[in-house]
Amino acid sequence: MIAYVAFMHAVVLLSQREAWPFANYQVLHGQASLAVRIWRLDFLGIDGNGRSWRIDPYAFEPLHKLPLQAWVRGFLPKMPKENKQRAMAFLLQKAEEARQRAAAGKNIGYERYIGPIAAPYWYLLPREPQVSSLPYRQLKIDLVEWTTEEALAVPPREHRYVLTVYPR
Amino acid sequence: MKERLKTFWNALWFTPASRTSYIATRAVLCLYSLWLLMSRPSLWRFVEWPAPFRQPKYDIVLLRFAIFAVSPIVEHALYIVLFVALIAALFGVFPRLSCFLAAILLYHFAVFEEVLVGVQTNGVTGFTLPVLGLLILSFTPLTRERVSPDYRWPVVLIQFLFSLNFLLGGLSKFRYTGITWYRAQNVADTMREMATLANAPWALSTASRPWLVWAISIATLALELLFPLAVVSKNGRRILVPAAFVAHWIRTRVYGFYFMSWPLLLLFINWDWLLSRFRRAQPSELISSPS
Repeated sequence: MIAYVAFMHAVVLLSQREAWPFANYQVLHGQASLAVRIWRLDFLGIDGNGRSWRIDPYAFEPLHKLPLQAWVRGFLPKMPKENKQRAMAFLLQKAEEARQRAAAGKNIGYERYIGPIAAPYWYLLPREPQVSSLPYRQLKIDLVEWTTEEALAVPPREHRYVLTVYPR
Repeated sequence: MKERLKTFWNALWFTPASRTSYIATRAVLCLYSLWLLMSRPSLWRFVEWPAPFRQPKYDIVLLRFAIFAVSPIVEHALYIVLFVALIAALFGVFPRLSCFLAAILLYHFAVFEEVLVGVQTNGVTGFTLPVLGLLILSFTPLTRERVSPDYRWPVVLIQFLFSLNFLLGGLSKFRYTGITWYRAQNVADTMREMATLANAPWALSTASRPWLVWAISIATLALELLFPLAVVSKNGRRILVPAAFVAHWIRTRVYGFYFMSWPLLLLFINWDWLLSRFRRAQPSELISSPS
């Protein structure tokens, strides 16, 4: 067993193939560049007054925003219209459920049951403690791109595009 | 030389150890898993997500983790069984069976939080070690003896697995980028990148101090490559385990990455010594943890 465990981890390290639960624990292993274009998706709830609210990264629990934005970017634009609408309607419903909990002063996401002693997602994104007191009528997803140089310039610069809005 | 290595190998893995360290290791793994699951209370609910979220591209991944289009009630029931199995393992109720069941169910559920895009985060979500650790414990022969080599090798193997978090993280940097990853310029630029991506409140202030970046870079290199010494050396453990704890706290502030497995540093505590101190008794001659 000792040899097997060591062998599997060596294979995973050298081959760079995914073999969960054998892992190579690689994170931040690349060469950083301030000129490389980076992206994120902003999930925005639009309330009855037409005001946009950034949705908390844990609002879509059990999924964190990070894998969800990878899925949205990778698959949503290529989907048939019917599937796309079904997915967006579901995400809007999840965002609204989280808004209702947060507006009532209840915890969402990892803090739901054990509060501050709970384990957050490994990738710490800024939380969005403020939520609308009005229900979300629409879900808007923006694609935001920047380079580190642009983001750290004065004033900071970023490029924002509307990816999708539901319902239109 | 060969004889000395053989002696070292046998002493490391098979020196008879007390039951305390074995039970403590099982308890730490179970409590850690329960902590993760209580922090992911609705993990099973991923099965309620509509079909468009399951891409045919990842059908094989879903199959590999036994994620089928079953009723959410089934997944909810399994999630409850997972809690029960972990609690049973924690208290030593049918320990091999409960560890095995918990490991298999953890394997099934652990990827729910990312499986819609395959399995990409590769070990950083904190579930890999409890899955492997509980599996190892489920294959450990049961013995009624107070002292046994079978209380030793599983504990050391799980400590070794934990140390791979550091060693493989470091070796991946060498594999991808080389030693130049640890240059202050690259480390500072990484911090600047993360300042724009994550919640990393100290990233920019740290990146603007070259001496501090160099210190973090050298400490990172040392910790990543030397942490396996905590498995084999008592002195190494005394330095490396507290250093790892501090390093992970700094990493949270500087890079915005939370090291999920930090509570598993408890695996390196000498529980025999601690309990003997607690009971105000003479320390046992046994050394539960490897050294």
